[in-house]
Amino acid sequence: MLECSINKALRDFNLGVSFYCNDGEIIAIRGENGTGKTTIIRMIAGLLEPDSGSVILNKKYLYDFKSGICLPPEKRKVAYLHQRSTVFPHMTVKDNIGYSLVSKRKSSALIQETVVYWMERLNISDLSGIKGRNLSGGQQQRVALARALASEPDILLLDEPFTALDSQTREIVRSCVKEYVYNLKIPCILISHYASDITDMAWRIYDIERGSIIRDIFTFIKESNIS
Amino acid sequence: MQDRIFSESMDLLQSPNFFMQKSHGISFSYSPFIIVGIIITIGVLLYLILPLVALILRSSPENLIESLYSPVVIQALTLSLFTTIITTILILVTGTPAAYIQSRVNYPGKNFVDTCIDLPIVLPPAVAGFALLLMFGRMGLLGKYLYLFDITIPFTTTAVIMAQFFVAAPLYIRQAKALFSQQDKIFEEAARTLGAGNLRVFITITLPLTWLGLLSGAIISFARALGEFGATIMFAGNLPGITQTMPLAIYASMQSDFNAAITLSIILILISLIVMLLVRLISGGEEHA
Amino acid sequence: MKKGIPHGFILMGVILSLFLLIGGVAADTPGGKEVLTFAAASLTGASGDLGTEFQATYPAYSVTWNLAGTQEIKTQVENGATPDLFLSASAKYTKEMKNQGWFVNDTVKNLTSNWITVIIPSGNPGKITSLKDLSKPGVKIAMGTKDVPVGINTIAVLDKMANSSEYGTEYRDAVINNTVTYEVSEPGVVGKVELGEVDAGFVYLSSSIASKDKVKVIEIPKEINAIQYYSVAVMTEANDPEGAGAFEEFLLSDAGQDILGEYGFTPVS
Repeated sequence: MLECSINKALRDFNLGVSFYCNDGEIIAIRGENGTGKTTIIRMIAGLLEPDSGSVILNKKYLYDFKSGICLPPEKRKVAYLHQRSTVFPHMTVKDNIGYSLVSKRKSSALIQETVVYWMERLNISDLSGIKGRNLSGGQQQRVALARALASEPDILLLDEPFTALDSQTREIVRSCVKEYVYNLKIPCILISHYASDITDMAWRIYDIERGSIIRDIFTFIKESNIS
Repeated sequence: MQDRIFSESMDLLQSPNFFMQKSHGISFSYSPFIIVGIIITIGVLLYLILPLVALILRSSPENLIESLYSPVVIQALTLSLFTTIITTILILVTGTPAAYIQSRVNYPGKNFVDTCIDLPIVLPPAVAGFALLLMFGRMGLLGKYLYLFDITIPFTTTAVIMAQFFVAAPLYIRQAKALFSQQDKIFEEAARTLGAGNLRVFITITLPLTWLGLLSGAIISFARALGEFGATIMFAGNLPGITQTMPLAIYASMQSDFNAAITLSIILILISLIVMLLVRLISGGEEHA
Repeated sequence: MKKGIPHGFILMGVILSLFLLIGGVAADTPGGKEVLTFAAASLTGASGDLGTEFQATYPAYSVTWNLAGTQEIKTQVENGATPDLFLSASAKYTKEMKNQGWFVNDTVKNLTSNWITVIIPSGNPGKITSLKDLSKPGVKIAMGTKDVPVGINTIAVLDKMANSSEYGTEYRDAVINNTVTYEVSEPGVVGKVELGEVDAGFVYLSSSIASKDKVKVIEIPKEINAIQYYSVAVMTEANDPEGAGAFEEFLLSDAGQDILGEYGFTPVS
């Protein structure tokens, strides 16, 4: 479970939000450009330090102003899917997906197995040996997702990750995310301006304006949607 | 009929469109400003190239081949290549981490350090050599302690390498730093969220994405070190086989061994040409990558 | 044509006129007419006073110096430089240039002379007390290259010592062996000794007097020394032969010779 209560003074306004996300739950953060959505995500990922507050994941402090804790990103088990493609352009799809596993020093057989599994899951097995820079936008996003999920994260952060996808791929990817989140019981935060993404995936929606949450909406997603 | 063609031609000549030409599909007008600019460019080009041509024409292929065997030339050539290669390796090994730190880490006084690193680029080489002598010479600030242990640096090949490093390292560090700073951080950030620490990010992400630019920086450093004169002669002195690099040999033999001076000059020009070509190829390759 | 002259052409005309103007102005310097004098580097110390006194005596003129090793200024002349006056530190180079026709023959005169001497840093790190000590192993010596006049004369001195019974060829070879740097100009040798980076250096007597606060001198007896004749000559292609002649006259006069004497040069009788 994620409990997040953070503040940061930005150029035009002060960002101050307090929210939570349960295990197995997907919440959406919605708002105009420049309202602070990406900033919140970056602070949870550890790429940006808040001015004050705390971020608690699974009862462990990722950040706490009072005690001075601020874990670097590599020590937080977050998967962050960026708006722009972050697939490593100089590495093959295979190496991209396996990147986090090599960090964790798993055996090469296990890494191979995991990579193959995720490539099949997202339908990109035929791209295995292709370098990141030679992939199309949609292909890159699928590789990025495979890479993120292969790292066995404790939380999934999605920042407009489905923009470059056609509707069919979008379907595959959305259901993949939902399945992963529900089955592994991790929290997931989604930023998207596509209404269809939100209606399909989000349990709750936070509307944000000028750095503050102005509305907190429950949508009604039943477990049966996930079949 | 002819009248009409004639008057239409006159109209064309008098219209402002007469000088319009298509260049790469974009309309480009050869106004007087551009013409003067082109003339000036040709002038500058000739000024830069003709002295080199004169140099080459002063020698003949026989003289060239003959002096290639003279001890002055061979010693200077081998010493220059040896020292410059070592200097360049040292620059790569120390300059790359230094540039990385400067581009990523913020600490108090960072701007001052940046300026200090840039300083040797604008410093006259003779001043650099003088400063090195005052620091590492036998009576130098640091050197006098080394002297107690029977270590003297001036007049050794080590001094040549130190002089070359002093003037060439800042060029590389500056370029590497700019390269690292411009590098899109999203890849490094993604790598970190995937569990990679600073060292792994540097080796698996930063270096592979920047190595071409670093290489061209190293090549430029190499060329600078190869041509170093003022600091070398001040700090290392001039002794054939030990400290007489190619530029020193050219200067020292101009009067008595004209052919050797010409040959060495031509060799240096050739190396410089190759350097420039390589850098151009590499950066051209980068643009298409 | 209905339009006036295009703006571009007007701009071109202005720029070209500016170039011509600057070119014309540069020909005459405000300080009087320049006598461009190429001179051996060892005259650097004396050059300031020589120029000032000359201008005081002949206010219409001023001296512009180009000081470098004689071999270097000779090369510059051979490749097109056109000074008015030439001061050489080497009889050998003077003769060569005279034969090549660079000088107005009857203006080639002896200007002054110099001897070679050995200087050591005042701290005497090499523990040198006599000329013989220069051959001790581990001593660091600086001298001029074989092209620069001070180097030519140093070798002449060493050859004389090699031929003498007191020193011999082993002595000369040991000294050459101890040489750690061949400087391309005489001030370069002086500098290395003053800084204490070498144990001894072969320089001109004039320099040893100029630097007497910073160095100690070990004299070389005249029997084994090589006298260095400096010459002065007006160039055949001088832009200002009168100015050159006036400066030469000044240099050979008592006033000029006194200044040279102050800087340690030995007058030619």
